[in-house]
Amino acid sequence: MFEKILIANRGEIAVRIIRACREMRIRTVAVHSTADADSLHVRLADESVCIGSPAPKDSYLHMPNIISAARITGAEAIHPGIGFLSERANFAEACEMCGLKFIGPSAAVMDRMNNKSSARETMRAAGVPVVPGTEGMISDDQEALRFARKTGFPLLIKAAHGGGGRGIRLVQNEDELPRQLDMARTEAASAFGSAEVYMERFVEEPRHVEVQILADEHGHVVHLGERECSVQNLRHQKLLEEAPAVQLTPQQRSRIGDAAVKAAKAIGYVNAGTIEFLVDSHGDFYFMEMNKRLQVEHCVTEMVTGVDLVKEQIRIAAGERLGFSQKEIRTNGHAIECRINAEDPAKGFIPSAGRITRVVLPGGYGVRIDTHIYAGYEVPPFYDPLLAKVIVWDKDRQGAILRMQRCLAEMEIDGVKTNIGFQKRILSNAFYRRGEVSTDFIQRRILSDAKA
Amino acid sequence: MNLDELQSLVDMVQNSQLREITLKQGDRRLTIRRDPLRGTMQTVGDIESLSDASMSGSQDLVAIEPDSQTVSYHDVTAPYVGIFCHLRPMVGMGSRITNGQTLCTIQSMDIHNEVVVDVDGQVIDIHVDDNQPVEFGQILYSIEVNSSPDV
Repeated sequence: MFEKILIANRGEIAVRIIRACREMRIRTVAVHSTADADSLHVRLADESVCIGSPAPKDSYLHMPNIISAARITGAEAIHPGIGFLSERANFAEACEMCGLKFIGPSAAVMDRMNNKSSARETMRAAGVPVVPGTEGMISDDQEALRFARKTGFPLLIKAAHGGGGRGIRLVQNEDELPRQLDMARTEAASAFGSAEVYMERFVEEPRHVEVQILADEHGHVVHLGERECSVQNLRHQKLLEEAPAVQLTPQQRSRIGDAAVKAAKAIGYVNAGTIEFLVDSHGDFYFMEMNKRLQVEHCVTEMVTGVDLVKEQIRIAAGERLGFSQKEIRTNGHAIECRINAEDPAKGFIPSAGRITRVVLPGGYGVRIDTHIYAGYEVPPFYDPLLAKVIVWDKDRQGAILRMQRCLAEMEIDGVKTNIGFQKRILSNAFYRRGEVSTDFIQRRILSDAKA
Repeated sequence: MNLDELQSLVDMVQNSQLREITLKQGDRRLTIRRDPLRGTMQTVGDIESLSDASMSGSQDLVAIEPDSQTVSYHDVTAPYVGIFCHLRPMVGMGSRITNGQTLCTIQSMDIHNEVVVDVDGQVIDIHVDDNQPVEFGQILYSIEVNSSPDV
């Protein structure tokens, strides 16, 4: 096992990782920008190194300074956390070249899954369902028309090198197909440097369901059940997550879990990862993408399985075998996580920086708070606005919702604007409480309600 | 430590050529530093543990009149994380330096990155030792800047 790990991140996730290390008797090195010198992760770590000025590119994305920090402190491994360098194949490669263990998958696996269309082909070849679409790129309009007639409208045209919701066009009928294809190609060429496009069936009112997997270096892969992440803001950022997913039958649950294991095995994945699926109204699911790192919402999986995912990541990176088989993983009860962000829902969710003057955190049975804030903490304007994660567990979903409502009623953060009130509105929404959520839930059921 | 002792320490620093003095007793630490830029002094440490000394009282106590002659100082800080390495021959205490001159290198990922100074002046302090690990922003040298004859 490692004796010292450097955590190349900040905020609540850095605190989360330091806590796991401390319980494993592993010494920790925090890195921080000049804006984060008074941050909780710096205080909790055994050592800290300032790695640059506030802009992420000068600090948390500055590979030479981070690798140097590991070297001068004698750390043996680097945990990249979430965001920042966590999915940069060249960082994983640089770590390995410098004799540091990167706690995550190999650079080669990251590279392969970073290209959307090649990831899609890999999954299709492995027998993992993908959204029905053209095989490879569209070469001419006739081929597009044949696919459209076979699949039916509406359809999506997607840029092969697009991403983050960009480079996608919705086509309603045969008449507008040639024009939309032309526009999609022109757009793709100018935005992504390649005119390659493919077509996909449009999945209506999809739900976002993702499966947590763990894979060791000895070929063992298990899944830890799924999470429901359909409640997202207009920029597709998750706001509230839960485990297990709502409205899945035991059969569907087991099929989606098996598909995720198959996907991980197909690419030779190692460490913790998440396979994201779209689930349509019939309960059919399709591979969307793979997150090759820990996720913000990992906590809900931990609450229902009792598995500490960060400790498992570290054990896997140290070359240990998974300590359990698929059969030994049982999910118990229901967990919900609310992300508390420093943002102003009344002003289009713009981030709100400033000094936190007062904090009252909820507690009690079945409640977990992951946060780096404290009274007097200055929320810097340079990074993502996540302040805290409130995670609750109860025997069933109904109980978990009540517990979360109780928690948010107790919670107070003064000095910056937060979305606590907005989260309360979600939890009291009748559609949410019935489990009727899809990725357009916020737009359809919350924001439209406010306008009416 | 009581207020009288603190006062005598402040007087001592004020009447000497010292820039900084640090006292350690157990895990308590008290630093009295003369700020060359403002000509004042400041204390850093667990002031609260001093008997009867309130924060504002201590600050009044250590404020002294600025020097009549204005000398400007410049700190050279580490622009990278890595290992501090002197040049051979090294730029030492009292060395005269010119704008654009390399003072030292910081070794990061097997590359020696040069640290270049952007003022003319004289090295009056070196805060790090050869082969010492440094973090971003750490003070390496204090420079007494040549006063421009035009001003």
